[in-house]
Amino acid sequence: MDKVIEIVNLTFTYPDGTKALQNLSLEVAAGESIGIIGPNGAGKSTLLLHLNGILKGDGLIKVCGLEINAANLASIRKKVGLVFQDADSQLFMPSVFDDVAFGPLNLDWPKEKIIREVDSALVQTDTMHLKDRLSHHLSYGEKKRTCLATVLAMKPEILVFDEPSSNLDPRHRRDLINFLKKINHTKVIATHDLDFVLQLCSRVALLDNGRLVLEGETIAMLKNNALLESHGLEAAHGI
Amino acid sequence: MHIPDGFLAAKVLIPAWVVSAGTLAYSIKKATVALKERAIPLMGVTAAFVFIVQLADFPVFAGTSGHLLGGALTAILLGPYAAVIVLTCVLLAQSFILQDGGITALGANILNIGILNTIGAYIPYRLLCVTKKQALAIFTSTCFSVILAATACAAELGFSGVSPFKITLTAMLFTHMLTGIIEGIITVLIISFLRRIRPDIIYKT
Amino acid sequence: MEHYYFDEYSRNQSIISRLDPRIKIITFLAFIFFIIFTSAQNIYSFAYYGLILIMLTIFAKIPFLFILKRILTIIPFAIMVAIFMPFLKGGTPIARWRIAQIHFTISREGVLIFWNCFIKAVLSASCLAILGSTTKFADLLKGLIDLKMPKIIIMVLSFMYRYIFLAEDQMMKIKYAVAARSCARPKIRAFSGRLSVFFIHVYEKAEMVYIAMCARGFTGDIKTLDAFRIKPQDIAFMLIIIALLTFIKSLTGGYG
Repeated sequence: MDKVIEIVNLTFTYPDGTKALQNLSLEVAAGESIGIIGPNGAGKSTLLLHLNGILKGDGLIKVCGLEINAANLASIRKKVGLVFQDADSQLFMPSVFDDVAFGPLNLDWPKEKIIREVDSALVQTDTMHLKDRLSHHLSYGEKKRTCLATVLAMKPEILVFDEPSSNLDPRHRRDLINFLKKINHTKVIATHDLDFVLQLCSRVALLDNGRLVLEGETIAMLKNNALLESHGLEAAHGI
Repeated sequence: MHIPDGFLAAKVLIPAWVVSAGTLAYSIKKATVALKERAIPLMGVTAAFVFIVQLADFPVFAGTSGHLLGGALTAILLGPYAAVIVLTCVLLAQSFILQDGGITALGANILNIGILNTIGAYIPYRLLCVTKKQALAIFTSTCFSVILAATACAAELGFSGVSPFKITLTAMLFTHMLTGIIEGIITVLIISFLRRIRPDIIYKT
Repeated sequence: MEHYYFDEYSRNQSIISRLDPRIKIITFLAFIFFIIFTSAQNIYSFAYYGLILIMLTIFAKIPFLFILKRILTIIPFAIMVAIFMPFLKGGTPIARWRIAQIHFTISREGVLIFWNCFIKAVLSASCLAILGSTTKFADLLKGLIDLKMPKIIIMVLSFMYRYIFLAEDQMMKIKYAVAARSCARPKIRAFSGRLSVFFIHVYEKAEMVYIAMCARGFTGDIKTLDAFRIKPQDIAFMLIIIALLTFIKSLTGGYG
């Protein structure tokens, strides 16, 4: 299978000196769903921000064969759709429609295509009825679905999620799981929700202190209680 | 100190517009080159704060009330070029949204509050920084810029024949010396706090 | 906290709110120019300007109280600044009286100067009030882009607008918290401290928004779906208003 994400020896230190990532190497194949787990401060969010070039560390990152550099940034950002943990930071336009159209507009698509893709994304995430609403008037669940729509409208190949199920009520969580099961995109999911990972991911990578501790097949990883506990996690209930 | 439409004579307004437009254009050019990516949200947030802060009035002396201007703080925080742009945006918004300050009068208001109040703080600040006494540099330059803006406002109104220069100048200087001192103290406190928590935000040449 | 939206009347679907924002900006700015360049003596002209503004206010379905409130803020300025001129400007006296050995004279020229400032400020502010409250801020910005306003100004304005409500909320809280203290020194320290903390908080949020924008391909150009198309009623509005104003300005009469 093609490798859509190749990370080789990624090291990143924040301006204030915090070593967020150290010599991390990881590969993700096309169509695969990989879970990134680890305690708070492990570097999960930092890693995710490297995948679309927001952060730039030392080491090599290739997305769909393209090395991430200034020249490729536009193409990379089309291919990688990042859904942030904080919904409010992703919704900044006057209406839901405008927010979902923001990405496609930046891709310079023709107007008819933009409207088509925006409508499609709204329908897929069941947010069409919200399209003229002010983003900060939405409920939390509606905001999260809208954030997903803003990313889907750009027709990315890879979807990256930072804590997708946090603060979602059981129904929304279930809907999200079902939705993600249906779509074929390559998925990278950073989360504490190990049940979520169990249902969606075939592989899991465990991070701690900026390093990749271990990666492997989901069930084997999540059954390894000793490993999980030694890195500040608890076993999933589903096992 | 936001001058409404209809007060200023053409002989005052036209030169004011020429200076303001020219300085703004130059600032945009310099800022676009020097701007780091993160500067735009910082400028927007600062503009929002200045907008809100200028709305608040506080009692100064026996019934008169004063307003904070925020130009000095913006200039020290963001540098002169960004500060001119930020204060211009605040003035535009105040005119369109609150009708605080006229549209044709923008030439003068930008000159007073967007240029004299910002660059008129930045230059003394940089000069006084040589003394290594940060707090004094900030305080003095803030007071100076507030007084400079107030004087220019009084002069514009005076030369337009709309008010007696001496009386208006005296009144404006009186209130603005007091508000200048308060604004000076607040600016010192805010900059020192920001320097401790997020020194990377503050403008460095 | 209750928020009033500056452009609240833009959602009320009046004739005025449905006009193209670019046409509105140009027309109302032209209106202001007409007002400014009308001679103070032409009292009737100002009365007719006022009549047009009243009509526009009605068509825009804006409560008169709203416009009145906006005008009210100008009055203190006008009074403080221009009130001296009737007394100080030499010329034809129209009133005289004496209080305790001091003679007060009001001259016609001085009154004219005061009137000039006052009526022009009030009418111009009304124009802006109607424009501002019938146009969604986002549309105002889009209109300004088309009218060639520099992009950096538009970007800063749009970020600013987004954060004004947040900042306004927090300022109220700071004011209440600070008012609870009694003397001046702690007030300033407390005020500055809270302001700084919140500034950083909002700034870091704004940073995340900017990152989210970049993640969705933003490179500095503001792009729009070109929702605006100039319709016949937009042109009609502009032409009618300009024609009326031209006619009114040509009227002379009043106190020459």
